[in-house]
Formats: sequence, structure tokens, C-alpha cells
Amino acid sequence: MRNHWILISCLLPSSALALEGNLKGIIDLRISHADGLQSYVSGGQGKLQHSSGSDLSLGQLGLAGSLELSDSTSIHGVVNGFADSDKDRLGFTELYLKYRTLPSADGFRNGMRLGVFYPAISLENHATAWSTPNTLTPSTMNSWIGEEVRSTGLEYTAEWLGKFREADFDIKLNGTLFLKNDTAGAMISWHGWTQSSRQSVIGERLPLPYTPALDADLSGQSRNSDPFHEEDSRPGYMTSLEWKLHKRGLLQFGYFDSNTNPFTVTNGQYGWDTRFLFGGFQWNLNREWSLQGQIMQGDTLMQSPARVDVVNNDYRSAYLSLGWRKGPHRVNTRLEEFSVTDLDNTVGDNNNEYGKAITLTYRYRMARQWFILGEYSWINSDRTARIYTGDDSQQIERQLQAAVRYYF
Amino acid sequence: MQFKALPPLTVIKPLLTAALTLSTSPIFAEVLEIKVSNPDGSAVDTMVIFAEPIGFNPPDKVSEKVEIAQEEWAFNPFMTVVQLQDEVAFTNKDDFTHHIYSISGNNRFSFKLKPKSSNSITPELNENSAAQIAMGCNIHDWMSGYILVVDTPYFGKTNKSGVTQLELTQTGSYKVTLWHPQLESENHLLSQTIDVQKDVTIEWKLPTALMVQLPEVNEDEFDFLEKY
Repeated sequence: MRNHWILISCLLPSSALALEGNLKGIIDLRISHADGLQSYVSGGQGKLQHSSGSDLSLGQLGLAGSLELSDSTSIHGVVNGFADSDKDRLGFTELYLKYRTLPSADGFRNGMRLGVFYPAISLENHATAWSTPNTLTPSTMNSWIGEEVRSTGLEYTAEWLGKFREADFDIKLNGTLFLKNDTAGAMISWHGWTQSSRQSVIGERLPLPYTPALDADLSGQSRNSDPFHEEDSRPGYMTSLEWKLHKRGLLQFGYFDSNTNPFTVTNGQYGWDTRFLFGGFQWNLNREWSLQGQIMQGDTLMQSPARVDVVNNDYRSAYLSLGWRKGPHRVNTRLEEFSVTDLDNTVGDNNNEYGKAITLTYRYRMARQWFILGEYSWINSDRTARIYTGDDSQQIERQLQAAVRYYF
Repeated sequence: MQFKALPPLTVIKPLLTAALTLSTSPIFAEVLEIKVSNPDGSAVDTMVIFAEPIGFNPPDKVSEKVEIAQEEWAFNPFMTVVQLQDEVAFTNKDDFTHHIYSISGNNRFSFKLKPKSSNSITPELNENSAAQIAMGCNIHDWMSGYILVVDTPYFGKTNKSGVTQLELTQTGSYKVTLWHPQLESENHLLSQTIDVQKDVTIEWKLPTALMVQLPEVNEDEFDFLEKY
């Protein structure tokens, strides 16, 4: 791997200020064949990244740039692009100022991020430009994070590093305050859980699948949801605790609350009061085998200005992923179960769904930065709202993808 | 602790020693051999030993440049001993950035090391005695390494058999100290005074066993990527 250096020298009267930049990225080219409904990506009721048929696509073009202002302060910008038959988008997915101190003598370290960033929830998306190194698509839970959950605000982290106390575990506490995420919950209600490596770029609008209520009770709702909408100027919050055992694994628990006023609407965008608990673990059984799992459970509420429930849903998604690797080979098997439970009485807007998914991924490392991946996805889901477009509510969708990935 | 006399010396050495003591700078050495063992008798390797003259000054030593590499997510070597005024050069041999730091006493430092780049420090003593510098990387938290700064040219590390030899240019009393960052003693040090008039071998048994735990080799193949 090569790092690319930008040396910006600002010639000042007395001294030269040098800022160092760093650029990393991922290119992911794919061929795919899908058998299912029209993808949610283009406004369908399908759960896969691709609509039925074969496609040659740009799975991800991610560029992660940083500029070091000092040893502790840096600016980070991430640009992502995705292009296939369903939708083409290119734009910023994250942009933030990061501050991180050195640990103190007893191993305490402060960190902060200010700007637009992913709340620290996904255990799958931990590589450059929020990519998933072990699979081509994240689980339904983390696909939703990429689509609708983004923090524009301030994150504070406090870490206690075990090596300063002769302990073999670290503890990390996260507290985040955010704005501009007041529609989170709309897509999980109207297209349900989905699976894709796409990430919404700043400014992107997400098309809603057809539901009869859009012509009735939901006539004030735009046909496209704005995931970066601020409705009420009230900050939401996320807090989490992570316990990391050196080399062996980690445990995480957290709570997210958009704290949104649910009965106001601006420019066709309603406020959604969305809350969820999440938990996860990673356990490295040995050098070859590893197990990972996460669960999310919560609710979302959207009301009319008269404060009558229009959408009131409970939702849950969980996955368990078993990984095996040896030399250049890695195999991943992921099992998932997900549901949305509709608790409101709105006519023509049934959000109930239940589904299961299996994702099998093989990854081969050709060279340090080059990978080829093959992935088979199987999703069996029952979603009542499919009846509105004349499809059976019960669908088994399948997708086969092959990709070449280059990390730089 | 036990002292053990060496076998009779050859005839030549006393003659040579006598001849050399006539010259202005002593260049022939008395050899202080130290063997370190655990309470169960097993050898302790990579133990640092240094000897400080008591009541006289050690000879001047030309300062050196000592390199500590950042290689495969680790400090190599894990432990480094330098003499006061030696320059310590950190060289990043990985193809990703490290952020090397120390928060130890007056030897605090912090700098980012880009791939294939290098940066140097000249560490200081800690209140006129040997300084221990614990180092880390603020990007890769499990990386750790140590520097010991001593004000004497007499230092070494024990080998696989737990043995090191210090060549002393003057006879006299020495404060001999063992150091290992994982030694369970006050300040990770153990000292004794040894009178060196001729070659001596000392067997030094530790009061408690030293269980050396080197940082594990990192196995996350994706650590060269931008982390979340």
C-alpha cells in the first residue's frame, strides 16, 4: 500500500505551517444476478441491492481523506459513489473534525468528533469508507444504519486502556448528540429491512415504495424521504459502552434516541421519534474461527399534526456471523432474522413484515490490497405492503454477486 | 545472591593487565559476568543489566544513534537500553502511519510517523538516575515498547542462557542493577553492590519468577486500512 501525500505549505511571514494529508480508498466492481422484486433502492418492495436481472455495477468507490492539523486534531472527509441499474449517487457520506488526546498515565483517553459521521454502532463496517471487509453486503441492521442513521453533531468518547493498568481489556464510553436525522425510521417502516452496501450520501433522497396511504392520510408526505432532515431543532442522542478483550473479542451495548417531535411536518418530511437499543459481540475463537453478532430492537412513531398515530412500529433485527479464514481464504456465513410490527390503524399503510436471511461469502486475497469476493444472498420475507403493488406478500429473493476489490 | 569465583586465569592476562595499567586510558577490561535465573533455576533472557561505578566516573563514551523500528505493528526491539546523550531514531518500516508517544516523566514525546519515515529523540535521565520510558502508539493501542536511559557505558541484555558480560575498564565498586518492565519489584529494578577487582561471575536469582509477556503479534489483516 502506498500513502499519498499532500504537503500544503502556507508561507507565513515568520514560519511555514505544513499540513499533511492522507488519502485512502476502496474500489469495488461487481457483477451480479438477482432474482426478486424491484429493489428498494429504486423505490420497490424488494430487499436486495439489485432489482431482478444481471448487472455490472460499481459496488463502491470510496475515498477517505484526512488532513492533520496537529498530533491530536485532524479533519476527515469521506466520499462514496455507487452506480448500478437502480441508482447512481456520488457524494460525501462523512465530514468531521476529530480530536484525540494521548492516554494519561492511568490509561484514560478522550476523543471527540464534530461534524457528520456514523454513530458507532456497526461491527461489520470497520474498513475504509465504512466498507465491510468480510462481506459484500452488511446485515439488514447495518444496511439500515448506512441508509438512514447518520449523526450531524458531537461525539465524545472516553477510553480506559487496560495496558496502563496491567489489565487485558479496554473500556470505551460513547456519548453523541446529533441533529439532522429526524426522518430515521421512515424507510424501515415503508420498505422494511433491506440488505445493501449502499450508503446514503449527504443530500440524497430515498424513494418510497407505493402505499395507498400516500394518496390519503399520508398525502402530506413527500414521495422521497430526506434522511438528513432536521424537523424540530431538538438534538437526539446515542450512548454506548464497549468492552474489548485484547485479541479475543468485544461486547457492546447502546441506546439511540432521535428525540424527535413526531407530530410536525416540513416540506413533506415528517418528524419520526425513533428509539432503539442495540448490543453486539465479536469473539475470536482462535486464529481461524470467529463469531460476531448484533441485535437491534426499537420503535418509531410518526403522528399527524393532530397527534394521531400515523405510523407506530416496533422493529427488530439480529444477525449471527461465523467466519473462518486460513491463508488467503476467508468464508463467512451470516444468518439473520428481522421484523417490523405495525401498531397503528392507518388504512393503506400496513408495515408488518417478518423475514430471515442467509448470506454466504467467500473472499480470496490475491495480493495485499486486492481481493476477489463471491457472495450468495437468500432472503425469505413476508411483507403485507407488497400486496399494494400486486405482488405476493411472501417472497424468496436471491442474489449472486462477484466482486473485485482494491483497497489503497 | 551467590558469588562464584572463576577458574584460575591464564598467565598471560595478569601480565597484559599490568602492562596496560601503565597506559593513560585503560583499554583492557575486567569481565563482570552475570547469570540471571528464576527461583526455579530457569534462565531469564532479555533482562537488562547495567553497572554504575561507585565513587569514580565511568569513561566517556562517544554517543551513538540507536534505532527502534516500528515493524509489523510492534516496536522492534521491544526493550532498548541507551546511554545518556545517545540519539534514539524511530523508523516506521510499516506501510501505514504510527503515532508514537511516551508519557513517562521528563521523556514525554508524541509524533506521527508516516510510512518509511524516521524521527529522533535524545532521551534524558530521570532525576539523575536511570529513566524508564514506556512507549505506545495512539493508533494501534496494543503496541508497546520500552527504553531505559542509563548514565554508564556498562550495560547489556541477558542471552538465552540468562547470561550477559559487562567489560569494565576500571576495578572498584559497582552498583549493578537488573531491569525489566515486567519485573515485580520496586520500579521494576533490582540492585546490589559488587566489588570488582578481577573477572567475576555472579549468579543472580530473582526473588519472584519473571514471566515475560511480549506483545502479541497482530493478526487483524485489515489494520492497514482506515479504521472506524
